[in-house]
Amino acid sequence: MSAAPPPAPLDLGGLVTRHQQSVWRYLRVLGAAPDLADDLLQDTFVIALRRGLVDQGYAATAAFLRATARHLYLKSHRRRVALREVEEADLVWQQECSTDDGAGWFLALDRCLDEIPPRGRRLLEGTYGEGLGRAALARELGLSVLGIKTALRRLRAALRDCVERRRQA
Amino acid sequence: MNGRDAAVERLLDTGLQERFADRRAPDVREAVAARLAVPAEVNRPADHRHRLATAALVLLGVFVAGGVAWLRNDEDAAQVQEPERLIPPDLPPSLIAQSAAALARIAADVTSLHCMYEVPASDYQLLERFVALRRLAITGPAVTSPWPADVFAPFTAMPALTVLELPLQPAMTPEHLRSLAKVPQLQFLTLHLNRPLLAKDVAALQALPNVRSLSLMGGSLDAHAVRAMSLLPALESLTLARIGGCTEPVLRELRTVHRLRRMRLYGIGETSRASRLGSPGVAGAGLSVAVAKALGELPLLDEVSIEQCSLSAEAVTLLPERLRGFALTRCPDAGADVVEALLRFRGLRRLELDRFERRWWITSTAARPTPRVGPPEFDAATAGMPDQEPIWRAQAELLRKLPVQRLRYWSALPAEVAEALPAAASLAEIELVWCGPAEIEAVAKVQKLRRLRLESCRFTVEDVRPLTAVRSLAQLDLRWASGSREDYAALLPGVAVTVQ
Repeated sequence: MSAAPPPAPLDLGGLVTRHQQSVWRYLRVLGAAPDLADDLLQDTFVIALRRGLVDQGYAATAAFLRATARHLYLKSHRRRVALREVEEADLVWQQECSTDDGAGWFLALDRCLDEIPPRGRRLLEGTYGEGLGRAALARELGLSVLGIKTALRRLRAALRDCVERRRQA
Repeated sequence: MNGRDAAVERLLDTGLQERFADRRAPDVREAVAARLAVPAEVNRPADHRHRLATAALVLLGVFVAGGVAWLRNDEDAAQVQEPERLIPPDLPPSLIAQSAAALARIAADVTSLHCMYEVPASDYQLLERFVALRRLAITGPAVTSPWPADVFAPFTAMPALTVLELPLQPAMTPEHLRSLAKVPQLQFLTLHLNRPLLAKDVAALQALPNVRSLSLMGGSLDAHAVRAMSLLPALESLTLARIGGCTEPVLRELRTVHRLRRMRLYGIGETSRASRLGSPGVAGAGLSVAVAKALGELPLLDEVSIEQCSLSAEAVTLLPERLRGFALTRCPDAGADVVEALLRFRGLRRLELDRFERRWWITSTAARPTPRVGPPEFDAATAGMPDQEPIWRAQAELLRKLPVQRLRYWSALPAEVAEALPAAASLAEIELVWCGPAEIEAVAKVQKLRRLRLESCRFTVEDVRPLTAVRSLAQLDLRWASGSREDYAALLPGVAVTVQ
């Protein structure tokens, strides 16, 4: 009886490079805060590789890593997160991002952001880039605090619509 | 809000934070490799107690760092750290060998070496003894003789070799390139193309697991070769320098290289003024509108460098607004409108600019002046250049309005730019090439200056005295300068000084 050929050596650096961004984004969609996603990302690779992950093609490897990441996320939030919520988030990822690791979705978002008028862009920059509070932005943009809240809600809704339109086009 | 809506909102949050706060996945390659290298039982995934211990250590670290900063009265110790830059490490200048005999005289423990002659295959074996090398460059004319399959074998015995520059000779095959996979730490690879680069050559580079930066110089390539780059596992930085075949359709294929974070184009696209100066550049597209659009599709692109290329303001406006780094040098056809277009990169942290100097353009086909250290003289009349002042004013506006943290400037600072330096609120690192005492006085007015690098500048030890007033200055790096490290260190106590 001939012995099975030894598995090909795993390209660790290449494997991590290929998958780290999508696994991190996936964890964020599940509900992990950025710092927790950083931790779990590392754990995901370590555990998956310790459990004998072999590179069986891009899609299969990505699915294995996502399953590991999901398990770790649930474990880290055992008493505080409903399994159903995580499953729904996983479904969103499958529908929106699984074919290209989210590259298309994020590219569409980038395009949509390029179309935002300057005041809207400033609002997003202040909120997400500089961490300014609503009061500071209200002063800067000459709006009320409630106006900032409403404008942000509308901007986000418009961005979601825009991404969806672009994805369907 | 149902579960699906909440998940899509989180997807949107993730995208917005990536775009505006640059909060994205960390690179965990090294951490994962390090954890896998130790037994599992001592390196479990972080549990609750482990996290508490980690948090305690982090807090301790914060207090220690805070205390040190307080003791040093350093208000800027918490300077925002930029992600790891995709440029080679700052190593000592290379020792140069111009013959096999000269190579034989070099000590075996050298870390940076440049073989600058027609290196035959047999001389590659002579490199075997340089096991401490971190950077090795081999440049020279094309050698048409056959190459043994194991010609690169000596490199595999160099455990620290990170930066490698090689000629791709006419008789070298993809197998030669594939053999570089055995160089354990190779991250920055430059190929001088003495023949066209083919898709199968690029495919062979897939075997190199750690090459983050690829530079291709001379020769030519085609669309298949560019497309094949999308499969390189770790490629994040690409330089195309004076390389033929870079037409618009070929460069548009760059959009498939999704992992690119840094793109550098050098000497591509004919520019009328550069041609008049005797350095026309290789025929090609340069940064055209179509090429800029293609680069705009790269989801991770963070830094663009354009040197001696044709480009337009319209093309610049099509690059991703999120860019954190931009270099615009030696582009005499780029007017003030191109510089002004950079204002759209509102998160720009790293900026490289220059002041036009005709001497830069003198090539072997024209009269070559006597090389000298120090700023060359500007000769606008002979060069036929337009008025430079609008360009300098636009450069000054960039410094005033963008959150630039690191500035690299070539040649003497124009008065407009020098006056804008104190208004650059985030500026903490400055690199000047070909400067003089006046520039040192100007940078001494930068309030948060932490690091200054002066390269090929003409000044005396006494000329750096204005820097004694810069309390935030922590590091002074001098390259090709007069005076000893001790002289400068004595003048600037508490500042780390390096002289090479």
